[in-house]
Amino acid sequence: MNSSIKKLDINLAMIVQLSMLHLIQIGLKYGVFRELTTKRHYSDVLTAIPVRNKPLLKSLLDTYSKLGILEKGVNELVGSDFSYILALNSADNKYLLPDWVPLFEEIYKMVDYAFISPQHPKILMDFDKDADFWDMRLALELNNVYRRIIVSIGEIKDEMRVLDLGCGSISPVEIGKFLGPNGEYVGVDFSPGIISIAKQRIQNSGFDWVTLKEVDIKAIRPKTRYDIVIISFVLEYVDNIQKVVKNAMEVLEEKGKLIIVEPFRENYPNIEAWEFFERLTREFVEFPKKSSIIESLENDGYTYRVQELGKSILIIEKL
Amino acid sequence: MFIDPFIIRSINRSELRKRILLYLNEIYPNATYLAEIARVVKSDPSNVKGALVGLGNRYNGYSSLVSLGLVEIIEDSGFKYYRLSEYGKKVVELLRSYHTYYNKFM
Repeated sequence: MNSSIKKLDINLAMIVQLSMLHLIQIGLKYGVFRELTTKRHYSDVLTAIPVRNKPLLKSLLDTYSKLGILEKGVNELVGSDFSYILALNSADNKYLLPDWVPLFEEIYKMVDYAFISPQHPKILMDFDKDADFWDMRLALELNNVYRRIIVSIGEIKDEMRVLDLGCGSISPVEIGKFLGPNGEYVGVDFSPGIISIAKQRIQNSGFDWVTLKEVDIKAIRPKTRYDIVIISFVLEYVDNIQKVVKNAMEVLEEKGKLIIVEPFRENYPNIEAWEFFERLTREFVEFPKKSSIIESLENDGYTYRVQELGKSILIIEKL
Repeated sequence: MFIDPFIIRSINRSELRKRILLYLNEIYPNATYLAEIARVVKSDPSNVKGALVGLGNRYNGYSSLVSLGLVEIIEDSGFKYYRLSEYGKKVVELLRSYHTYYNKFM
């Protein structure tokens, strides 16, 4: 499992690095850096750069500011001296997965369309309207890696009860297959499109122990108790992490495990570069901090044991 | 292998191309000839040829199944046979998974 954890972390870090390069490319392509050679008023910069979607341009400038690529004063902007080293560690290269690269290239390209119009049909980041694109994203080997880690950590097998919050369209089959007729997998997702694709797959597989519900994870009130609760790549779309973590802990059996997989922002420097692209999805908030999750647990007074695996996995055992 | 969702969406809207792909998937990994495909999908051979390799303005280079890499041509003793490619097989799998979704949302 250690090599899978390493694989996950190294690829997530590489997504951040590649996003950084593409973010700089956007600045070059739209003449942003040229406009910021001298101190300029914020609104003058927004006017001078010829793109129609000004809120997206503002988001780009704010991201540059967070990354130290430009300096932001009160209503003023100016470019900073900036250098960036892309790290390719030869010992780690064997863990690099190729299949996420073309998919992320598509996302990087979508920014050009988004600069024309936020509703441009070539932007495929809506959970419902573009559930097919999300399905392809969720089918990447990178996602299979963390699914296998979850199954291994949770020792998922028949007779267990698993709740997957923000299950997507692939996990109901790929995690559900480890359970059986004596177990139960309940997947919750708020996108009707994604749930529809997942249901089709479940029907094809004949996994009648898998139940899928179209519900917002903030609104769940399950009565059943679960041995495992999964939250993977979901908290970045949630504005109230504490509520989701509290709900998850509430439905856990004693000794049950909450498994959280996220690129925790403390562990990934420059993650703001990746976030800029993810904001093409309307619901995106930001990648969570590990500390916010721990804080939520403390505030709610749970007795728990927490274990961190690599840079992107937290296992919280309810005591 | 990246699959462009616009290709899947476009094929889903094109009944003939979809029927051809589903038939070639059914007989995969075998290949077959144009007239046989036309007979099974109940269409005119010229329309089927257009869907497979392009024909004038209909099914131009951007949308024929061969130019999209979904179907490959095998030439043997002067005859042409058509077979679903590996890439085409993946596209068919996705088309099937998205069947309900496309019907409901698109």
